[in-house]
Amino acid sequence: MTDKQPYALIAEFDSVSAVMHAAEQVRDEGYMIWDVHSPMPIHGINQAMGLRPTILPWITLAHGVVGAVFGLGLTWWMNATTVPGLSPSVQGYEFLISGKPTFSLPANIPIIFETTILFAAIGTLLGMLGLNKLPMLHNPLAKSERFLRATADRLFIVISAKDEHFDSETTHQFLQRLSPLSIEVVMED
Amino acid sequence: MTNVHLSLPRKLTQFLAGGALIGAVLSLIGAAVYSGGSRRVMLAYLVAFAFVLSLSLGSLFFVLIGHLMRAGWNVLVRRPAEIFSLNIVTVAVLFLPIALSVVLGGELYPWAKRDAVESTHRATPVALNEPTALAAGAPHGADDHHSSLYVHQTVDELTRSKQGWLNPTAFILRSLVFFGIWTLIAWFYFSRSRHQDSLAGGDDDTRQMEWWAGVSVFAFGITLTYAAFDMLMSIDPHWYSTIYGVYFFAGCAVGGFSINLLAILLLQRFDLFPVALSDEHRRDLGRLLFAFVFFWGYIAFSQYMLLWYANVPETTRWFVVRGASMAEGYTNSWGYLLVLLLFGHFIIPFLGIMSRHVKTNSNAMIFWTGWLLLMHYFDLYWLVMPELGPHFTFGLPEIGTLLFALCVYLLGASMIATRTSMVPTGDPRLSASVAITDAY
Repeated sequence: MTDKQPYALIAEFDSVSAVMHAAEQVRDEGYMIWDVHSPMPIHGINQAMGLRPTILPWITLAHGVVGAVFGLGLTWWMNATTVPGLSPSVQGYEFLISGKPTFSLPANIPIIFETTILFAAIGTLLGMLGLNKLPMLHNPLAKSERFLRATADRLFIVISAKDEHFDSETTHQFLQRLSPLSIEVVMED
Repeated sequence: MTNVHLSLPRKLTQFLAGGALIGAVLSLIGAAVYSGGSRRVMLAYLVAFAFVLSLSLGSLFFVLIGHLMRAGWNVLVRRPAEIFSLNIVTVAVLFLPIALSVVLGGELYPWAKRDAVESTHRATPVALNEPTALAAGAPHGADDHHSSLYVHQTVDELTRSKQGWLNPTAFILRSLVFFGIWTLIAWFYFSRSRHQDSLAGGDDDTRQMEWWAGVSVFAFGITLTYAAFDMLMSIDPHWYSTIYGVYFFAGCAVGGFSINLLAILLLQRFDLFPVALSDEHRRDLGRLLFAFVFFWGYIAFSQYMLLWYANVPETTRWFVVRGASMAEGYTNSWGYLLVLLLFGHFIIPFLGIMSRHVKTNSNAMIFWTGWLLLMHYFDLYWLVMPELGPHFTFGLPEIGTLLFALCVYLLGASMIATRTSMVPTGDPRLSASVAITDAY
């Protein structure tokens, strides 16, 4: 029991404006590993927390480009190639449709479009999960009875013990100055 | 917030009036100088008319979807769109030469020609990928294929069979209905919004505008589609494409959103817009434009792919004439315009506006909206002008008619704008719209 390390300090608020104001001060204090928990979306919280823009669009773009190349290769290989001696299970099938060339871009574009969208969409989903470190099956915060109200009617600022500015004493004092409803130390499991 | 009325410099009015005059003179010179110049000027005028029409319709669409979706974000930037959509009355005036041409049996639309030639010629069937079967029966040489492609411009049996719909009386009546409905909708939204300006507060006008948005969108969609069929598609009375109305609509959205964004950014640049636009507004407007750049490409490709796949001679003629065929003897210089549209109207702006840093950069967006307006003009140009013949032309008549129509259009817009506040000051959502913030 005694050798457990603190996981985070949590400060409880009951209004959006209070938590916005507090978040700005935490940002300006230089904390990096911290978060705001709220039962509803708060417009402008990104700026208040000083969050950098996400790299998710680049992940989406990269997956989209890969999907487009994949679709192009797929349609080319399947419709326009015959490789002698290759097993039929991976062999292309040149099929003549109304006299058109076997590799006809207009016919292939819908396929390329679909694979681009598919890859980009799946890439976005997986990228989002990865960036958020999801799925997270357990979070030490869930042990706090008080914190459970973050899904109902309370807002919380959580400063992680992993933050280099974190110190049980000074961080506690700092949070006190933000005049929250309460402050609680959450321990590691 | 004070009720600031826009005051444009007097020089602008003089400049636009001068531009319209020069444009008219250039058009007349063009008609006199070139052989077959009157038909060319009429077709060029049709392009210029369709261009300014699309700007108003695109703006009307912007106003309508805002109310339809009960949107708050676009309240701040709605007024320029209301002004451009009411400017449909100027477009109606610009329609008069076209109406006159139809009534007098001019050369613009083959079905409207008075000297209905008793010819049973039809456009010779042409397949995109199999020119050899045709070439065998016809004399060799590129121009021989080409001459067979324009036979339909004389009134033939197929055109006559459509005269129940395509005749001058019905055309004029339908045009009256189109412009009547557009003016009614635009006037309703403009005057309600202005009325709200004059009140201290209240949301009665907002509720009315929202209530009528649903009906208006239906009326808008149907009239726009049939107007595209009547005014643009019927220059080749043999050809039809059910997606043509959607294609024109996609162009309207690109053109309308572009001119609104351009107008707002320029007003801002010259300190004529009373409220500071945040990055969020720029980004949202840029996103909307970006979406419709892609929508245009999607629709353009859909129309092409179906006709390409089916490869029916009657319908492929339309694309052959517009330079889409690479078969020997069927290529023509309109193909360069087609490639320009593929890259300039779709791929390059698609990649260009994709980044959010571009969307929030005023200079960059002034460039891109101007670019897209130019491309949108050439899109309509590509729809209409290839009916002239197999050689790409762009010169005095085209520049003259565009200058004339655009200057008259902007003159009308500036007259409507002069007595108007640039933001809907009475809208209950205005302050929320000004303060809009958004997640990344």
